[in-house]
Amino acid sequence: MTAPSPLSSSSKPAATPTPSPAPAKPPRRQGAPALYGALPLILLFFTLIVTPLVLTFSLSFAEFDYNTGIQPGYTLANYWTVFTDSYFIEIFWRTLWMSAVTTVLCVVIGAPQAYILNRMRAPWRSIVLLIVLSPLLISLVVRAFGWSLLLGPHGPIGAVTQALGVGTLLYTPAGVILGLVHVMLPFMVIPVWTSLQKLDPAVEHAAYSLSASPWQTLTRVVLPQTMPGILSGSLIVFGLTASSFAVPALLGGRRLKMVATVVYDEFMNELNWPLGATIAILLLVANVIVMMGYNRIVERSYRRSLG
Amino acid sequence: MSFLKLEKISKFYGDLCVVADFDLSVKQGEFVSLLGPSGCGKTTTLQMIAGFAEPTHGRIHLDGKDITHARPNARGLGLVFQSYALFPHMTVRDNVAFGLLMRKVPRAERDTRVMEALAMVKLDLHANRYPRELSGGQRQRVALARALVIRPPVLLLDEPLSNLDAKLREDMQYELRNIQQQLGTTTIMVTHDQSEALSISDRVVVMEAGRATQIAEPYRIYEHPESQFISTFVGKTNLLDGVVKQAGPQATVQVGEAFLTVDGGTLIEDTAVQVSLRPEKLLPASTGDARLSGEVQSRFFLGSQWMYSVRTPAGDLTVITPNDGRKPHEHGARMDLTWAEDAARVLPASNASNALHAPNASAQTAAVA
Amino acid sequence: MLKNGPIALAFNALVVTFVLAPLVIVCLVAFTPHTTLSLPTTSLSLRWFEAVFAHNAFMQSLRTSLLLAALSATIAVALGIPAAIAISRYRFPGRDALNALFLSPLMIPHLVLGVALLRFFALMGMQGSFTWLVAAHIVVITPYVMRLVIGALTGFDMAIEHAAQSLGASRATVFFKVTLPLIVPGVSGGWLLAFINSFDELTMSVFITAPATVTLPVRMYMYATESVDPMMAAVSALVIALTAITMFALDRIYGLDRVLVGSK
Repeated sequence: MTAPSPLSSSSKPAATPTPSPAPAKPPRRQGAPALYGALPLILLFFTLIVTPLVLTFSLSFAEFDYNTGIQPGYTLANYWTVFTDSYFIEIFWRTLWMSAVTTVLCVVIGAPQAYILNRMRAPWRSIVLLIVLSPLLISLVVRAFGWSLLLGPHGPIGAVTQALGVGTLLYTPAGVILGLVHVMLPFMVIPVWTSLQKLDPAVEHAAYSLSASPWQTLTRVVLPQTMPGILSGSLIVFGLTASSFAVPALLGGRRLKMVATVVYDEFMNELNWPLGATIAILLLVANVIVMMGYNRIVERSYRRSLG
Repeated sequence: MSFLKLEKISKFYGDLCVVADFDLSVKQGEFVSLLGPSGCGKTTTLQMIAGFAEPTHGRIHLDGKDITHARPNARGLGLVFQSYALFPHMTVRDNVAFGLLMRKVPRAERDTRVMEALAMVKLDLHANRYPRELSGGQRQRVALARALVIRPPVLLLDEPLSNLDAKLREDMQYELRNIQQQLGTTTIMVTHDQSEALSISDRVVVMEAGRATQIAEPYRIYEHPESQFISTFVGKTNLLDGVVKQAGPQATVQVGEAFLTVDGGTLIEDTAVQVSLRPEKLLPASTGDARLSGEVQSRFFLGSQWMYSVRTPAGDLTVITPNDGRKPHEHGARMDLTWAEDAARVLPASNASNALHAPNASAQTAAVA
Repeated sequence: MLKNGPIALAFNALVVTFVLAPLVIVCLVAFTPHTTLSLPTTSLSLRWFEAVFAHNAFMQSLRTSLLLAALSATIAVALGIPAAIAISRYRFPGRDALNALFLSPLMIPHLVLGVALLRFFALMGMQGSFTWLVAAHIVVITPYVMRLVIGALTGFDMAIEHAAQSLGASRATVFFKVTLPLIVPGVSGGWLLAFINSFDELTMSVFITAPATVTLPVRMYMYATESVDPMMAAVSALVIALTAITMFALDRIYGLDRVLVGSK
């Protein structure tokens, strides 16, 4: 799994640091002693997250020579390269617009799907929900491979596109986007589904009784209440897509690079670790900003009305 | 000329009959309550009037038009839901304005009518709040204003007061009635609370197992219940099993070891009957005038009343006397009882057509929440 | 009016098809009798499954992945329970920061973690170590364990523990005989979810595995970039089957919908 899952969107802790309070909140005991139990895990986290990230951050300032490797000394050359070299700018731009398109598609497909699911009755409801969400637990490689089969010359979609004279969608942005939408869809369905669960069904009836048409009810009553879910899902999908590796690598081929695959290149092929580290740090910062964005923007504007 | 008419309305879910042969004619401006325990079909009936459930048989007429199959957003009725169903993402003002917006009422008129409606429910100062910032009682009033601002031909209320606490419920009852009378809107209210139904309705429809068992003014329902079920569901009563010993205009019924004289009517000798005596109708008497004498088993203080359990030859009776300052009867003391001529009602024993949920028919007191 | 109309149901059918298509085609191709990536048009064959089981590298990677997932899930749960208890039941300065720390792997792209650890392990001379691979997996699966175990603990009625204590049980007895059994669904659910996530992990592992410790997803990735034949499909089908079994177990123990969507 590449990253945040359902956690960010459920009512339980995830991207937001504080856990939501238990229904009947038991008084918490004072106790630094409790920390002792958590010590091993804390140590592990500091060793494997904080330290390596700090090291990577400092690595991004290292000098690199293609012949001799990493040099001592500090420089901003890597950052300069990343921000000015057209090769990288093109990749950032491509990542950005592909992530945006993927996000929009996920909204357009995922939000209505969550709404339709909400209106189903048992047992179909749980069954279809599980079908739509279960790919989350299946390895990315398998899913990406499946798409390469579908899109390739021998696959059903490939056959159609070839008949249309377009060639196969494999190794094209469209193909990568298809794969990305497939992977990201659950991350949109879950938060929208969650916000729909909080709706009082009688509210839709109230709208009808006041002479609203089904369309008016949808746009004026249901949609505004699910906006927090849609926004939350969009931010998660955008963040995950921008840092996604497996799907672009397997469906994009050598020529269609995105940020994650470029980092892989720099580290594994070019061996220019400092440059790779620079891009990685920038990706991390961007990701954190996007994920934090939800807390600030959405929660604030909806806190008064929807809580 | 009835304004709202339900003709032989029935609702089946597969083989399950939820409402059967429901007939009701409502006059314009009338306040009618549908009263009954849960599962009696009252909410389903309301939903059929509102258009959220399709009647399996029968017709509904509103002001002469057949609306049986009209869609709920075309009926133009005012609905207040049990959960109020306010639009949480809209302010109070926008909530109330919604119906007018859907009817394309021009802005100026809309604003005026919204403020009028809010003033009527005394929430004009809260127009810019959101529902979650309001208390339960305030939300209920917003729901009411939202339903009334569109000037509906009929107002439908689904247990509107059940989510409020007792004191608030009482106050809101009368406020609701006042507003309704002011506007003259025909109103149908669904409730399981009999005191609510009795206190503010013009007529009450008592429902049981999908059927309307009695439709009458509140006083009549209480004093002349037509079935054992109604007499125990509406108000408390002492229900005593007995046998008719002597028929005639003044019949004699043997209840336990006592012989009671009741209005004869159509009673036949040697038939089993039930005698219903409401606790507040049992009056303390002087020894000479007493119809029944007994011993006080227990005593409860209810604030404005005293409630006694008295063991008599006719069985254990519940007696309620007002707390008028006089010394109450002591535990173990003798209590002589009498009652007015028509206070004792006689019902056929185990009335099959009504008593589908007959409580245990021995001398007991059945109370209603 | 509040049921799904025909358009809605058609949309739903399309979405379900979209979601299942890649998985279905993988399973179909896995049974092909032909030597190239194609659908089994003439007959079904198990030859590619046989090829997988005969392929040393894949089998080794499968064993590695299973062992890795089991180890990291178990240790994550063992380390996570005391931490979860500390967070859900006690007040102390820095509690929120601690909770954020344990959930932070969700906000860090696995790519970034992968390269950071690559550098770290290289500096410390630990590259290729299986032990540190396990440690890295523990870190990324901890959020899943924490969510389910903290969830089980916060939904726990403390009065039950107090009742046990008032009847004379020591703190240790209360923990092992009362608390632990009651949070077992949350703990086992956490274990299973952590297991699946470790087993599936690709992006970070690509950077920190060495030839001796190559996990199954990494092996599959490498295989997919080099040669493509139906064996890849067979391996994928096996992975799908294994995941399905785990999902079934997860559903039985905890409820798959609760895991995926969160408790209401």
